[in-house]
Amino acid sequence: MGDEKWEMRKVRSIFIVEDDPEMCITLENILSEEGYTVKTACSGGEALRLARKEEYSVCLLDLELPDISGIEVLKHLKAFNPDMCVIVITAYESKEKAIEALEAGAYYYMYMHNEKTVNRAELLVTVKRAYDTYQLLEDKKRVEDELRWSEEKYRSLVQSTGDSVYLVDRNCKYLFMNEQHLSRLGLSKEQYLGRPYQAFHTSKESRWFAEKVKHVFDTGTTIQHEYRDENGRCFLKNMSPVRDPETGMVTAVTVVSKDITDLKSTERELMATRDYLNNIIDSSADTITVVDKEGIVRDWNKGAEGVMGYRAEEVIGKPNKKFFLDPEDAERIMEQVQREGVIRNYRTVVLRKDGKQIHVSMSASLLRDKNGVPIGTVRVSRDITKEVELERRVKEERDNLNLIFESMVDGVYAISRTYEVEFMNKVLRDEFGDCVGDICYRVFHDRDEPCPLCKLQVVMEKGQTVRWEWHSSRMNKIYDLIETPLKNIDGSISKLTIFRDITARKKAEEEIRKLNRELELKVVDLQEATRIKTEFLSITSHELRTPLTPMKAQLQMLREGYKGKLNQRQKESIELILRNLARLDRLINDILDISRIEMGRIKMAFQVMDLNDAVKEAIKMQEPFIRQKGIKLRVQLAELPLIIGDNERLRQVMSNLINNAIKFSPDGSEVIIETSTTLEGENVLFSVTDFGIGISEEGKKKLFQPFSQIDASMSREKGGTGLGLAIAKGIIRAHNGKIWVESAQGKGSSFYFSIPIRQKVREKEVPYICDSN
Amino acid sequence: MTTHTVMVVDDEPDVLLSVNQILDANNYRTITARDGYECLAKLKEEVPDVLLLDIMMPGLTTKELLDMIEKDNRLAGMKIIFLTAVHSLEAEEIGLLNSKRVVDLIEKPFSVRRMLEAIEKAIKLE
Repeated sequence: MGDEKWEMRKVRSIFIVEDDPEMCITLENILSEEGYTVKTACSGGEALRLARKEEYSVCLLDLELPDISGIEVLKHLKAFNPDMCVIVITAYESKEKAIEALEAGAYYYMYMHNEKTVNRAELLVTVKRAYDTYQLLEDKKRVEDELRWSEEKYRSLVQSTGDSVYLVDRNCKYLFMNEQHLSRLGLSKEQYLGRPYQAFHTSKESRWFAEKVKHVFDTGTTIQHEYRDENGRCFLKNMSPVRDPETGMVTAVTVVSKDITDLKSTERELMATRDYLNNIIDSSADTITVVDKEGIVRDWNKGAEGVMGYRAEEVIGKPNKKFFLDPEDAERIMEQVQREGVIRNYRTVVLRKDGKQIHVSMSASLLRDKNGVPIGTVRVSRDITKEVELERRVKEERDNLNLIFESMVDGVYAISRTYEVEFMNKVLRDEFGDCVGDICYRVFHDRDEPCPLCKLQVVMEKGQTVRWEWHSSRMNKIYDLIETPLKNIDGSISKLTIFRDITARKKAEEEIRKLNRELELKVVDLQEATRIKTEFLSITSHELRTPLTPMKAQLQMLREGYKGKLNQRQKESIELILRNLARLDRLINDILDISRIEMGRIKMAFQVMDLNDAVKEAIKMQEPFIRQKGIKLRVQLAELPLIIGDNERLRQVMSNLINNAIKFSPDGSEVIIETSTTLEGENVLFSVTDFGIGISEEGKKKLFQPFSQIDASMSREKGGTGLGLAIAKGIIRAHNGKIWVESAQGKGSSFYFSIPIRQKVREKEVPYICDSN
Repeated sequence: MTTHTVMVVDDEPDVLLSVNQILDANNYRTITARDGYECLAKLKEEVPDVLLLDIMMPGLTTKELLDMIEKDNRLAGMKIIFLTAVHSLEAEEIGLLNSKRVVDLIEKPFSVRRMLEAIEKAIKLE
């Protein structure tokens, strides 16, 4: 506002009003030399005219002016510019004029010594002082202006603010109250001034207020607090001291009271939201942490506590490097997040407090302040130990599977939906080289398109396992293939093929079939031959017996005396013939038996029986022979479980064995017959022991074969057929039993047979007796 | 003392002769036949007490003969004894032993004593 005046003032200008031209010039010169800019007027009228136009700070005024009295001019000049310092000059040493001038507002009065002269020094000093005074006045005015303006500013601020502003003195009397507070208390200006706080508030409030005011007065500090009025509205009160600028003493307290009810509710809402968010973060089972740019942990949720084992207070403020198995990871994550702003599914291994390692999948993003400046990272991690373990196991199984495939003799390969070879085992690699990635039909079959018989579609689409034989005409081989869908870790499906070259096997099978057919034919031939033989034997035996019948009949009649009396020699002769006839008859029987056994045509009549009964019968049949040779028979029969067998045939066997024992025993010697069950209780055992001539090692080997040397020669001597043991063996074998001999030459023999107690019996089957055992 | 009649049927003349001689010497009246047909013809004329029958014979088989005998009620009291070179088991196989008339089986070559005992036993069964 007063800036223009400032500019002017810098150039020191002075206004001279002097009618005397010489004086005027003199004055002008003196002042110009001193650096002042001078303006002159030679009359009152001119002076006033000039003064109206411009403002001068100092004026030299001659009181003796031609037109208007100097005093009048002075008064006018002062009217125009009250601050101007007017120095009146006059020749007259007249105190009355001087006083009048001073009263009219002149600054100073100077006398001119002698006429038309002035004291130069005095003039300069006076002008200078005038100037200084003027400046001071101007300064004062400026300061006052500023102060006023400032005051205005503050007043308007105070009045227009939404906050309550008021001043109280030491006794809590209101010195000032702004509009807001006035309306809040419902007062008018007149009502408050000088009234105490207590007048408008409850005693409780007033007590409390007075305390605060006292505190500010005593300590000179500003205090701030929240305060709730009886209507429930919330205020933030700021009480600050007003100091006397000179003494510095507190003279009043300014109270600014801000209604923060809404703020508070917003704050409450924010806090509620914050609490809500915190709850979410806390109740998450995942690890949620905040790490600042320097890698220091700033936040650590309950999930993190659970997963990592560290409580929040143990880790907040500390670097996060130690949580990573690989410390470099901490930096890597930070870098990546800062570079890309976010990372997802970053897999790493972290260390729990107890040292255990956990696999986690981490997502991290930048945390920015309200200006968008990154201040750290937020990380959410999930414990994926189980998933990792599962993956590891799947991989292990896959590796195991691969190992198996590699060591297999069969070829194994896998192809994708699009016929690409995904896997080949060693066998295939050796044959075709490593063709992983190539197209299967090109590699294996040298084709440009899928093979017509390819099972890829069936396997992939129907998810079926196909087993089939492929006859390759190109390679003249036959393969057995198993093709099955294979599920990969990534969810895709491949076709796994295991194949084997079965060309040789097929050939062998074909050979076998051929041989079987030949065998069948041979069997048919054999059966036919057998049938013919059997028939032959049947007929033959019948035919052979036929002449024997009348021979025997006639001889017997002769012997019985039907044809007349015979002498002793004749009788003996007939006996001889009859004996041999009987032998012949037996031979025919035995041959028939053997051949029937051989042909498998002996029918065993199996029944439940006690072997001991058959033993007793056999012994009875041999009784005459036993008596004849005076044999001492010792019979030890144990209690036997019932067996399934042909009583007749077994009796035949035992009779045969007993007969042999007696035959080859010296007269009067002992023969022991025993039955028992074997140790395991699975078989019944029969034995007959003699103390006769025994059998050589050689003899033992062939003993049970038809017409074996030993048996035949002995038989011829002793009247046997040479077939007995072979037949016995056949019969015992038909019972699933075993027959054997223990003997030492010259010491005697023991013949044994055993028959299983529990056995499945097939009536028609009789084994061949001419085999090597 | 009653004289009992025995009919012998066998295709071997020597067998017939021998049996005839034995039976004759033991006070039996014998009728002989050489095959099934002759047997049937002679049965029409006279019913013996015992019939000695060979199993394996040409022409009419023994089974057929047996069946016809069975049907004839006139022959109800007659006892049959098989005289055979064939094993007893085989006889069983053919089903020859099912008939109640068949009381015994003598294997060839037979012993004289055995035959006489068998016939005696058969007659006593009446």
